[in-house]
Amino acid sequence: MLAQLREVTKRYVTTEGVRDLTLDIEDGQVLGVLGLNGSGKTTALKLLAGLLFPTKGEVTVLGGPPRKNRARLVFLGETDELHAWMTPYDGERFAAGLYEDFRPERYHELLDFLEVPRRKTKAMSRGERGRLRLAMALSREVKLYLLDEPLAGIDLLSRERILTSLVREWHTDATIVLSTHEVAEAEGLFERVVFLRDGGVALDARAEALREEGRSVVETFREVLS
Amino acid sequence: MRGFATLLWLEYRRSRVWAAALLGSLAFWLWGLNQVTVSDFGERAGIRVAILGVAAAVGLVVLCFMIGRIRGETRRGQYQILLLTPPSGYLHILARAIFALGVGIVYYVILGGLLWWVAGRAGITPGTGSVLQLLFAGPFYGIGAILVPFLSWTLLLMVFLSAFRLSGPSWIPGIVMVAGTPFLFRWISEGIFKLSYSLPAWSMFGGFTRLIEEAEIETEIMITTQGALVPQEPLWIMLALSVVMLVIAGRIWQEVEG
Amino acid sequence: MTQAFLIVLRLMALALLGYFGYRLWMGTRSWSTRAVAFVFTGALAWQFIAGTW
Repeated sequence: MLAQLREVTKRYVTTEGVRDLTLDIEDGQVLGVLGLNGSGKTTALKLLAGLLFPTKGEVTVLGGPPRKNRARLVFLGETDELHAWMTPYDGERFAAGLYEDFRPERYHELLDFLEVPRRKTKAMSRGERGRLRLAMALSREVKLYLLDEPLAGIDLLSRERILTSLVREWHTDATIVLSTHEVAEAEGLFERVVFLRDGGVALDARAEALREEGRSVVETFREVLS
Repeated sequence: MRGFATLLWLEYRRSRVWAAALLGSLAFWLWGLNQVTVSDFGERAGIRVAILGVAAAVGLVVLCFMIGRIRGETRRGQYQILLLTPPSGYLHILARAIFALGVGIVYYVILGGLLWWVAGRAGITPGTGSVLQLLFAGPFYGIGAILVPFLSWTLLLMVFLSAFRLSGPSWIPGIVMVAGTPFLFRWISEGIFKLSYSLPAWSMFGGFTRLIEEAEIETEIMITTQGALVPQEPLWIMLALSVVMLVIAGRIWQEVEG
Repeated sequence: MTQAFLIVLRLMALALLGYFGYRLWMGTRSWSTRAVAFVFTGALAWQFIAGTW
């Protein structure tokens, strides 16, 4: 088991991000975490990344506490931002200097594929900044990628192209856990989908099993959350 | 060490405008010193020394603001990226402290040079030993006893505030730490003054005693004909406190949620 | 009269400090942060109780 959440509750001051959440993530899986806003997707991914600590329960990633293993995973947060003065070159300097698993040649390929402009992030649109962060994240060769709404702010046509390529070409045999509230994008992409509702798992299903039952991810999403 | 070099580079890129502005302000202080044209020798020296005192205080404030921008980084989502980088919280804190210290050393050594210029204008030409003390020993003492503790306190305050980002407004921890600091500082200072100093005092600035007298600089430090007798204990105590604050700040960084 | 007023003022300050201390304790899971909060809250509490005004 690559990562586990065991009956994890995360309490904020007046709310709970997740409640008694149990989730096992297997090696080499491409897992989609779907849910409405406020369902606990970001909290779950941040707990796996070690950015949050559980109020109750246990989180294990790559055999230990996530924060201790932070060098061996990639977390791409929806609200994370690079410094405004950073250019893609600075991003390379930053990542290459801190991460041994950073691959510069892959980074340059991704910058071209994602059409990232070569200027400071303060002169980029939100979507362009997101693409740059995505390029930096995917240029690291790790076993676990945790991507929280990685395509937020990116236009619709680009999203489809990038997401398909991300899952089919760039991840090789690593594990990807990707959260999105654009459920339609999940069709045909994920091996397994987990639907979160009110901080807990509403449904955890293999995509193949859903297809055999003649159900699409979108239909299942509507059923589970209605 | 590779990661630490990158953190230093990051700090340099993040703060270079502040550093350049601070070091550039030295031209302003030099211009200000040149504008003092009172005829009385002692008064002239006194005003110039006071200007340099203001410059020293401004430098302290600017350096603390330069490294104390973690709250802005937290709001803009940059801090969360740094929390998950491989280097430990201790290295992150150390990189920020060392960069600010480096800028501070350049600034205060040059201020020491400006004081030498003021002394020269007052007709004082001390020996090489005294000049070297003015340029290096004095600033380093001030850096160790005053700047380093202030920088450490600022870093501790910033990470302390960041620890409460998810639980509510940061003005509560801000008020508690800022309001509590003067009392703690007073108790520490009183403790330092009550110590019977056992280490030998350093005799400094022997060639500048005339400047100290003419400029009527008031100080608790004993001035003799050989120079100022500067006690060692306050320096070592403040440096030790700074190390404690930096270690705690690094520890908090490791435990903070993003 | 002044003494009574000062005593009431100190008690109110201590009550507010107690509330701040509770918020700080509950607001983080970091024990290092809690230790720092305890030190500064303690310094303020000591000043309110035993310090001269």
